[in-house]
Amino acid sequence: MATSRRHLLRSAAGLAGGLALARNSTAGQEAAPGALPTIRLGSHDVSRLVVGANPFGGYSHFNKLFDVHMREWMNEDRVLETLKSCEQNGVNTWQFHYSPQTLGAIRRHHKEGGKLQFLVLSEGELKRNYALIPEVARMKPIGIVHHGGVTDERFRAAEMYKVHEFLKRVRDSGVMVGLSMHNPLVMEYVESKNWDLDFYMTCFYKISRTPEETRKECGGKLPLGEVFLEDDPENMCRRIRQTKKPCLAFKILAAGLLTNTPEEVEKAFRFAFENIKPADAVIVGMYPRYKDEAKENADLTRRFGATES
Amino acid sequence: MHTSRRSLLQAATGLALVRAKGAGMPLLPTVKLGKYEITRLIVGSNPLNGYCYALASLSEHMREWFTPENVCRVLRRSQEAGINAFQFSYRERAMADLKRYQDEGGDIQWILLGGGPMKDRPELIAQVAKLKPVGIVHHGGVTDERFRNGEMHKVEEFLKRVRDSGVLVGLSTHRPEVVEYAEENNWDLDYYMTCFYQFSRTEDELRKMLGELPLGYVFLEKDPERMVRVIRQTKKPCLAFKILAAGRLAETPEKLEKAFRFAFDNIKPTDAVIVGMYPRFKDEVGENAELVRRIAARPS
Repeated sequence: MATSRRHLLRSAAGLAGGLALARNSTAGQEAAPGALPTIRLGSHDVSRLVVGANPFGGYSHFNKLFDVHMREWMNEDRVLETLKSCEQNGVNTWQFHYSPQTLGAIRRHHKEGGKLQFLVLSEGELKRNYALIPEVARMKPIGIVHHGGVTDERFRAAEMYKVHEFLKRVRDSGVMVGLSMHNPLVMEYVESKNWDLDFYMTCFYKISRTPEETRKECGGKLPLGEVFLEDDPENMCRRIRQTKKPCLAFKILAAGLLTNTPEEVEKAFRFAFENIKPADAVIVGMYPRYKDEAKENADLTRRFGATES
Repeated sequence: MHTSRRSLLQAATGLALVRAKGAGMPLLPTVKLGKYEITRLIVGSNPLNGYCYALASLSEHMREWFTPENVCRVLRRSQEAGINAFQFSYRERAMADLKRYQDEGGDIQWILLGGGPMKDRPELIAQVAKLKPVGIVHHGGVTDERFRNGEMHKVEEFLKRVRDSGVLVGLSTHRPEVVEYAEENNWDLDYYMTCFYQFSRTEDELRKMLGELPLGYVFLEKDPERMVRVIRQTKKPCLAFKILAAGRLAETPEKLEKAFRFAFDNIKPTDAVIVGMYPRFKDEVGENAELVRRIAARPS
């Protein structure tokens, strides 16, 4: 990655966000990107690129060092600037986990004139306290989604009735019902039971394997850290194509492992849009610290995610 | 990791290093490398060059932070914490940073890895030797590649040039078989640099071994056990590196201590470890030195 010394010095002085994002805006105006291709989610038109929230919360899925870097840089102003940049590049929806910070950010985004729709993932208190569901629903998200890590855990522990209970509560609240997962077998289970839900969030990588499960799949060997296996996306995409429900595919860039070169990023976007259904979208977390990720990702979605009218 | 806003700001302005305790600590336990006394903890240089062995963005963060000033600060802090040796790879910027440190009065001993242009320009060996490093080492990634390609004669030629230059001769590798090969052929060298993880495997080698391909750099759990076996078999000193799996084993103080303990429990008393440090958010230099002081003292 070639980043000029000058750019780095500006960044070090805390100006990176302002400058990088200002460039985004300018570039966006010059290129007049217009809207991105969309899909239908109930009564909503959702851009096929949805901005995620992991980098905003410092969830790098690599190590604590990178988490701290992300948290240090991603203050609320930069989150807001990133959202604005996404909107200017044609993204119309933000998916985030439930937390005081994200809820505060979406309120401020709207107050400042932003129009992003949003999807809420049941992280934090919402994961434990189902009584919060109606309260969140009153904020008018497109939908509320059961958290993928928790889904996988409950699937492993044969506690899917808890997931079902959560989804029923979401249905009662009047917003759309979503279920997130990293394990493709969850979808097989849910489809076989004909659960009442509107869409899935489907991780391209089964990062919820236990060390024992990983050893079993890797010939008895255990790679250290979070393990993203090359063949995982194909396994999930098969399920995605089998269900008639819309799917929002996430971690299509393997939490940054597939972003070392522009070619790698392009290949990952192309794979995603060639292997999900035309009625599906992708969720991508963005950390525009060193480059204009919102524009890059939006351009790729425009190239590979266009659907026939 | 709960890092307060205040400590982040302090770190950002380089204050973390100033704040670190332990200025002027006694020298850490040492080993002999030729005529030199080398501390059993050597400061490595990958983070200085932005080689994080993970993600492009994290590499950028490292390169951004490691200005010449901060490189010198880290070296100074290392010496204050009782470390007396620095291992780095041959690059114009690295040589300039060392010179700057020396000009400022720093007197750390240094071990040079023959990476970058030195790999293909062996005439640089004699030039660099005049600057008096402890030794010059054949680069591990290049060694592994040459071993795979049946070109070990090129490695041997490099080592002969180093011998002729008068400094100590080192061979670095990520593959235990390379140490076995060099030992069987009784190569004329003084010490090894031995990576705990064989992350130079090709994608095909990984697929064959695992039946799957994990993305990114792959650090296999049992690799260190394979490398420490050959480390114990050779009588030559070994400088073990990547003992923290490029940060993967530094997530908690307990994991960090476990990794240091494993290393010192499994290498010889005449061996040392090389650890790259990135004290951007905490005093890694002081922490690592403290662990080595506690764990690696040899019985007198």
